[in-house]
Amino acid sequence: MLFTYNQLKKFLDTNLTPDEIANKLTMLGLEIEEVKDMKAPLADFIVGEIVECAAHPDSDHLHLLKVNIGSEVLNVVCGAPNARKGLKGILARPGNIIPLDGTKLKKGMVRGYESCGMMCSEKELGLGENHDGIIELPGDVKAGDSAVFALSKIYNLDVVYDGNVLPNHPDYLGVLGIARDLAAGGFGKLLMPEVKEIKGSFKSLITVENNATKDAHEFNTRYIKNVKNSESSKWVKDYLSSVEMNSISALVDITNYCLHNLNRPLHVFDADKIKGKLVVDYAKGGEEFVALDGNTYILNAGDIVIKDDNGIQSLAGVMGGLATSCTMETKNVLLESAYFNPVVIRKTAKQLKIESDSKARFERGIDPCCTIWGMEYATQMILDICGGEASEICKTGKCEFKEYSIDFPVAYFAKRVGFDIPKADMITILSNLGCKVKDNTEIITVTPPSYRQDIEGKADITEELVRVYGFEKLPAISVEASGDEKVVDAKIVHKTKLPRVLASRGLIEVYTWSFMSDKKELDTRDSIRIVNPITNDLNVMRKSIIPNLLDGIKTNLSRSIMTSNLFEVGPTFYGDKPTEQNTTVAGVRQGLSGVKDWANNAKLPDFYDVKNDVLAVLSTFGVNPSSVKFSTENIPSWLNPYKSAVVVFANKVVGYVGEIHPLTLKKFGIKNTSVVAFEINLDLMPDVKSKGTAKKKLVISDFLPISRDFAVIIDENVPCGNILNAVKASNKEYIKDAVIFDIYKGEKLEVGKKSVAVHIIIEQRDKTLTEDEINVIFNGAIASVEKIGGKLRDK
Amino acid sequence: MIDKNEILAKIGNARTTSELETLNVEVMGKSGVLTLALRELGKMTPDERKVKGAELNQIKMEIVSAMDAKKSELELLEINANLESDKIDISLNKAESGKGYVHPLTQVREELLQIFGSLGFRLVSANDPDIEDDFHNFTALNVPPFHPARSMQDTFFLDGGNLLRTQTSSVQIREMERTGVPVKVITMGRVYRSDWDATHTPMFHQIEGLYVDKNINMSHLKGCLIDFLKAFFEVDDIPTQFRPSYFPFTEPSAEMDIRCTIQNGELKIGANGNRWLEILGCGMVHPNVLKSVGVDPDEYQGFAFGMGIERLTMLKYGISDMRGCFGSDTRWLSHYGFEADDVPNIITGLSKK
Repeated sequence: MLFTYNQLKKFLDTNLTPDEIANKLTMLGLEIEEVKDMKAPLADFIVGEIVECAAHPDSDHLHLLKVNIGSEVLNVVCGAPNARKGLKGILARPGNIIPLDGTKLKKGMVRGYESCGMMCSEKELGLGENHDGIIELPGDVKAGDSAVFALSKIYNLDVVYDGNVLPNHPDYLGVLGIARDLAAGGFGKLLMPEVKEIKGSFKSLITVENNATKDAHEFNTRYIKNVKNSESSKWVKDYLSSVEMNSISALVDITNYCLHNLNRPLHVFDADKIKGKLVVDYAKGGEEFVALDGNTYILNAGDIVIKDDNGIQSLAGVMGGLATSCTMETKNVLLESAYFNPVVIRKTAKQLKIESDSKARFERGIDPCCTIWGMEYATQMILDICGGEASEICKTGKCEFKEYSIDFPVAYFAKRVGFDIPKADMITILSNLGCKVKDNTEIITVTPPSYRQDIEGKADITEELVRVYGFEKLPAISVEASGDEKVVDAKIVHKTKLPRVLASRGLIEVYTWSFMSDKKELDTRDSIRIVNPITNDLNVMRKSIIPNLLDGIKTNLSRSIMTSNLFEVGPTFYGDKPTEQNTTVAGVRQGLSGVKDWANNAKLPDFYDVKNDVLAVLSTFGVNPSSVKFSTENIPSWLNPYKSAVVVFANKVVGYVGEIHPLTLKKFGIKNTSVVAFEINLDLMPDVKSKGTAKKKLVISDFLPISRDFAVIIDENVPCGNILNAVKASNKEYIKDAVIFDIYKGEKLEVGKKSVAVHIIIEQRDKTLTEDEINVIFNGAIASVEKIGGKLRDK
Repeated sequence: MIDKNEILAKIGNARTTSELETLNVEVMGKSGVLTLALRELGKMTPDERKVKGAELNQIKMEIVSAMDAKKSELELLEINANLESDKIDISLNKAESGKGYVHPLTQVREELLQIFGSLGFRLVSANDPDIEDDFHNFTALNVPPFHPARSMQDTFFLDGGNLLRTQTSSVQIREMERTGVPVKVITMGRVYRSDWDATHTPMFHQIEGLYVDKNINMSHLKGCLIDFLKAFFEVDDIPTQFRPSYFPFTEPSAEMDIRCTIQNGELKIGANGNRWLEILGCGMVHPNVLKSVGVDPDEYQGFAFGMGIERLTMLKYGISDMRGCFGSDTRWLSHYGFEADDVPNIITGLSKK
């Protein structure tokens, strides 16, 4: 809401400065986002009087001026056609910032002559569009006077505020409402505009039928004949332009003036363009309507319209029609002042995507009891400015507003806010806001005015009191922990720790959108579509985080970032209903693990790196690696089936790990590199167990462990994990660990076979084992591998 | 006869430990000159043996001692020579394999958890869905259909009629439905608004706090938030201002500003700042919200607040450009991110300075 200081003072007798007004309003609830003082940029300019004016010898349009500024006379070269001796105008001196373009004026030479300033045009000073000549000030200003003083005589040098009107304060959409709140806050005296009843001298010549009184509660019209429409006065034009409204013609400008100052939308029809009677009714749906903005709208059933014999002439409360609009030729006018159901107006405007100042006010709820008052005010303005003769008011419908009262216990305020204000002050504040207040000792009964229907209950009254009394008086009381709260419960304690676990493994955390493109889904079944996506490539909810991470790699590669080790912990979705989502972690590794340098440390990531990531994730949740199964069954198609696994825990698939399928990379535009990835559904991880904190006792044998190696030739499809499991299971008591230290496939072996070398560690618990005892253990291990198809290579 | 001086001279001239070892064999090996000479003693008379033996033993001691001394000397030279030949270039660095980082939003979320945890707020652990129904996102929060407040936030809708939550306040409803009152919780999560420009992203994060009990009033709200801001920005004196505002689900509603100066993206908080900066929205829970979850607003009352986590992060860590926040550019992420061991801890000071 734009409004000006001078205009506000028409409704408020106050001594506050423009800046004080801005602060007080912000603290009352109308946040002033910008204050633009039109005087400010003119502060350094002064009045200069041309005391000599000679033609420049080398130019056919330049003048050589001597300009008196009171203290001295300056030489100025000037090209304005109206420059002449005796003219008083505004002089810009070197150092002044020209408001038009923000440049700093410098002393200069113009075709050989010194120029110590510039006589300014209206446009150069930001006061209007006139650039044909320099400003001519009236005779009663003196050389050397301040420009602000002198210009105030012919311009409205106002202060323009931009206030953010929140939905609970529709009254702020009129300057009068703003003034009323300031008065209630004790910052001035409200000057209520005087409105006289105008007795019509004849009956309106246009009959009105209201068939929509359910939503067009009141629809009042008045015929004013023999008006003379014209351009508005300079003052009105300047005012409208300062609040960024267009000046159309005197008649239209008057309605806009009332809208902006009284928060009372009005409409004027050219009465001679209306055919037959006017009917207020609901649209059937599908009708075409050409509005004042020149656009054609296809109406929906239920929109309130005003029609005549020719069709729809106005979209109620939203916008008038082009066909019956007023022009400079308008002789007879029909003035409309109505009240429409805010919900219908809002619905209509939303469906048709149409904005207007009138709609913005109706939908938020204007004063339903001011239709006649507003009409009288506007009629007077029309008669004053355009002349003419007014009819009686033709009324249809009736004001539906019913007064209601709220019992407000005085003690409720302190209970809710934490400090007390005297009852007398409460009554004063509420009365100044326009409420009727009845004092019933411990309870006050408050009847809000019709223009503050947002005051619905005790909580609203509390808000009115605390904001007007002053938020700064609110004390601060600390809130403390009782000590028995569990801040983070078992369900999420591990999830909270997870990002740091993965960061310590060299992965960088990202946060990506919860939405993505349906074209990039790994599984294109059951997409969860957004009806109104922000862009077409963010049109479905993600079912997996991996596509977003692949997109990240793609973008990084395009920026020559050749390594991307990324992870994200966040939601993934499996349905379009609340709670149909999981907390998921996903990670990708792509590119050399470090800078390729002289020490040759950098390595390309492979399956085993992300497998370790998976084990780290699971171990964060207290899962023992031996209880995790990596399976090659049902590998999803976006993974390389030969370098990937399905992660199974507690008989459930909890995620996937492996190399992204080259075809998937192609889809994402990732070239010349491979990507390994993992994704785990964290909601399938176990909760924190309520067990003791003591660790298992550590037993270290006094006897040194013994190592033995052997190699077997085995079918290449037998997983090495099976070999290790067999070896470990062959003697759980003594074989402490087993690792594969070499795998060989090649020409020395039969096709389809591999050689696997196993290193076992035999623990000597309480004595030194004899060679025979060791051999029994060792041979047992070999036998276990032979049982699954291994053949001992050589001992 | 043994020429002691010749042997000692040879020892002195030995250039390497292996030369010295050869010499040792020549003198004291199985058939070394000294060994042979000592062997001769057995053939001598006792008197001769006594004299010659003493003489030879003296020679042997001198030779052994000279050998040992020379050996130590040569060994030292050789070790030093070896070390020198293996000299490295200390100006080189060995590349570390890529470092990991947690995202600044994670860091700040943990900071928020530390602070509100210390004030006794519990983190909501489930039932905080991103996809919401109209009831939890609007109606229960006192925003009936066609209420003007619905257009304050542009909402994303899904095919089936549900929507992406526009604020974490929906969790207030779910948590009170689940646990009833009293309730003292925070929730942090993603929220979605159809808005994308220099200062808005279609998805961002909010922290929401809710404290409802029998006697929790607006002064507690103010006290709680001042304490929070002091802890979060790690300043003792933080000038704040409460300003009336509007949220459908609170009444009275307020916005909180802090006095500060922002220069080159760096926030300086203090009474001599040049502006008030809006930092969060809050208010007393609207009676209609309590009624919508079956709580009697005449018996219970309390406050709620909400803030944008991105905004807090930018202000605290001087991040003026959040374009990288939802991207994957590792240059942005490793510059503004935090190392794994940089865990916020309210006891030792929230952030590493």
